[in-house]
Amino acid sequence: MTARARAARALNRVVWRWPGRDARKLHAFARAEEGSRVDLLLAARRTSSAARRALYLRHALDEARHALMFSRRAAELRLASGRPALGPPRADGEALFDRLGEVRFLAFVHRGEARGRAQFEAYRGHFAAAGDARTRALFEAIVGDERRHEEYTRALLVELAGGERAARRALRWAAAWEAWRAWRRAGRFVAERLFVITMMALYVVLAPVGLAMRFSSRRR
Amino acid sequence: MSRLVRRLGSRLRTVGELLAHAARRQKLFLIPLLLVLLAGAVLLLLSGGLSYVAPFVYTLF
Amino acid sequence: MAAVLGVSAQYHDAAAALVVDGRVVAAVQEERLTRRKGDPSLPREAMRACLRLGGIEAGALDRVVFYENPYAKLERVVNGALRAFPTAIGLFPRAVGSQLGGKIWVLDALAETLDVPRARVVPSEHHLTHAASAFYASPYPRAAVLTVDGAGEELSTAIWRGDEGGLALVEGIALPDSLGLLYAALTAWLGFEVNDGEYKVMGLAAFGQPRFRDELARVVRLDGDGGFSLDEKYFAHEHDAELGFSGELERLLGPRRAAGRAWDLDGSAEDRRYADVAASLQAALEEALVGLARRARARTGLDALCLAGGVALNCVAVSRVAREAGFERLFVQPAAGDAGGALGAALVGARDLGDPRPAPQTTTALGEPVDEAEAAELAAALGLRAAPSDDPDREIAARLARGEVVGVVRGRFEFGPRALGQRSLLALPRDAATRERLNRVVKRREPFRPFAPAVAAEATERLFEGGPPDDLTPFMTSVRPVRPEARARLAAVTHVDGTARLQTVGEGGALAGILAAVEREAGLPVVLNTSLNGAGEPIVGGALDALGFLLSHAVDAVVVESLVVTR
Repeated sequence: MTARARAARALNRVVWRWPGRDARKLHAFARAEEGSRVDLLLAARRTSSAARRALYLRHALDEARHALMFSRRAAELRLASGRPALGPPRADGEALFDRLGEVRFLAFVHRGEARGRAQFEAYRGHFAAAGDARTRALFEAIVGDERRHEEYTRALLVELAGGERAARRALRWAAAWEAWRAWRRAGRFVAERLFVITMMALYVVLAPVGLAMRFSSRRR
Repeated sequence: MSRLVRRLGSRLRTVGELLAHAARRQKLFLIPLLLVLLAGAVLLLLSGGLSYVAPFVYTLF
Repeated sequence: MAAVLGVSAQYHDAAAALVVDGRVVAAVQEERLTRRKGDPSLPREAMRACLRLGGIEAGALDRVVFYENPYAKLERVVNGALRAFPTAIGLFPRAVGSQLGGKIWVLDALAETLDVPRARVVPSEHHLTHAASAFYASPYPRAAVLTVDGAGEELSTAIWRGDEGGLALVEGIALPDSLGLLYAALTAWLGFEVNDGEYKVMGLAAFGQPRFRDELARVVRLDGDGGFSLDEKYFAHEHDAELGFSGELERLLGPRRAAGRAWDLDGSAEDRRYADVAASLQAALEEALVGLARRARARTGLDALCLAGGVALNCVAVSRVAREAGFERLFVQPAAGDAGGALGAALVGARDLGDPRPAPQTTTALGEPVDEAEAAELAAALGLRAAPSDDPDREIAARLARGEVVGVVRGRFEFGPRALGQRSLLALPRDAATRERLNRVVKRREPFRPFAPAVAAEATERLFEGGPPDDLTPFMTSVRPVRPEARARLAAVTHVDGTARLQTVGEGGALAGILAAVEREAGLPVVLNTSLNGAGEPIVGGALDALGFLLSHAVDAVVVESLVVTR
């Protein structure tokens, strides 16, 4: 098992204990599947071969099904716990196919599928141990698909990149790019928190302006 | 480089239009406020970009 | 003679529309191409598609018009948050970040994406573009125009006068008074998703009795002169972006309904009560809309009315306006929501540059055509069976007569929420079981959702009350009562209150051939016409989407032009 999957398993025992976290986590998976769906449909539209179009389309339909399964289970858990619904999973499309080109796009997708499979296998085990048969079955169903996706994207990558060496190079590039994106995401996270605090402070400073507006409109 | 200059010019035009709008509405006191807010937004953009997930329920803003 | 591209984006339903020399050349919603429902992001794909369909390069555009004024929007948002001090403190950072971080730069983003000079990109005004999308598409040289939606820059509602000189604002109703926001808040209270569920609420209303009129009268007050106002204590727009309604509303109407719970109108008294609230809301909306329309008639003195804005999609209310407001003719822009704003923006730009009005809109088929050869190639790659037919209309009718559910993909896809024969899912209208099957298995919707018929124009009066086809019926923007003697044969498309949201199809219409063939096979030139899409998906666009739909939904066949594809 990879280090990441081991970490996921250890983290599971903490994360899934928090009340309400399980539904949110499933909802986040649904969003990830939804994002993948949109990116794969773009790939299907852009690719030049009908055979690949068919592969990407089927893959996208799988992702759509997964997103539905995850979000349904998340909704069930929310309803059961009496919390308000999380809404349908929405993902920002990133037009990755256009940005990366088909070879690097495949490398990125392959890595994502491999990562997903490993993580879902870990969660499947966790829910089996916790006695939640339904959620375990959910992950079981999805893991099978992810394995297929992982395999075909690897094979297609080798074919399009022109050999095993070129494929590995593309995968290394994808790993580096993901690391850079994670870095930027972390930076954005910090920047957004700072922004929120600054704006809240500004809001308080502007209190007299706001109150003046309210009184002037009331007088009217 | 020239593309960057064109983009900057474009943004400056927008800022000008925004200030003109505030002036036209005689809410001149909004102008310093807007300048501060703009500065804040620019700072945020420079430090890694804004990608707010819009409130999908009431997309009033 | 000018080429103008209109764009709507950022809030809901981004779209682009191209008007060349005063003619509407193309109009495309972004969601159809990106496959994200209601996609609000800058419509890059739709803009490119419009240029392709018009055969022009972006550099040849004389103007690019955005459907609203981002500066006025920012002003309203910031002012609103400040005025709501201190409760909007949580909202303020997100709102400001959203506005200043992205939304006010939309004109720059358009200039950069299209690679046109920034000076050619101009903003318009939200309700003006709604009004233009309705008036300039209508067959009326002069008309009153009523635009009603959730929120523009400052207005939610506006009355206009349209004539040879263009559009002039007569009066407007400003936020926070808004019929769109009223309906949206109650939609959320009923457990549906806002901007998606309003239509479901309208369908649900027919199952209830308007027992809560007094309560609704406290929430939305009609002033007897056509105007209305909302009691703000029931709403929460200014400080709670997610919910829109306050605890006060729950104290008045009862606890909100949990989202995602299955509906059981037969067995659950609680659900029937919710339907009664929906009915009361619908009644209140109808009265407000009729009042506004009457006011428009009084202020303009004109005989024709055009409608646009999201609230105009409430076809039940529109039908009441048609009957009671005193206008002789009524037209609703089929893309009445924000997507239509792109069309309106392009038309405003074209008029500003001196181009004539377009011919009256007779079709919504303004999108990309489907490629049959591409479909055949893809079907082979997917392992689907595909057989060309030399009489597809007859083949489709024969299948329908056998009880099959058949998808039809032909021509350019529709602009607006209704499928009118270009991307439709068809079935025979006779059996209630068909409706049940479609709701449960194919479209996976709530059981109370109705389906709508397409009928040959010459058979309309035989089967439906309310007279011959009018300016509303070709676009499914109104409802008519089904004649009692015809209900047995139209069980799948007759709603619980005996009405149907009908589409009348004239001789040249996309469904004309199929309807004639269905009449020969099954006796009536009527089909159940629902949109070709699954739950939560945008309507199918090209061959890829059509075959994807076939693979993942339990329908019997999808016919792409003359290619019959089955599993």
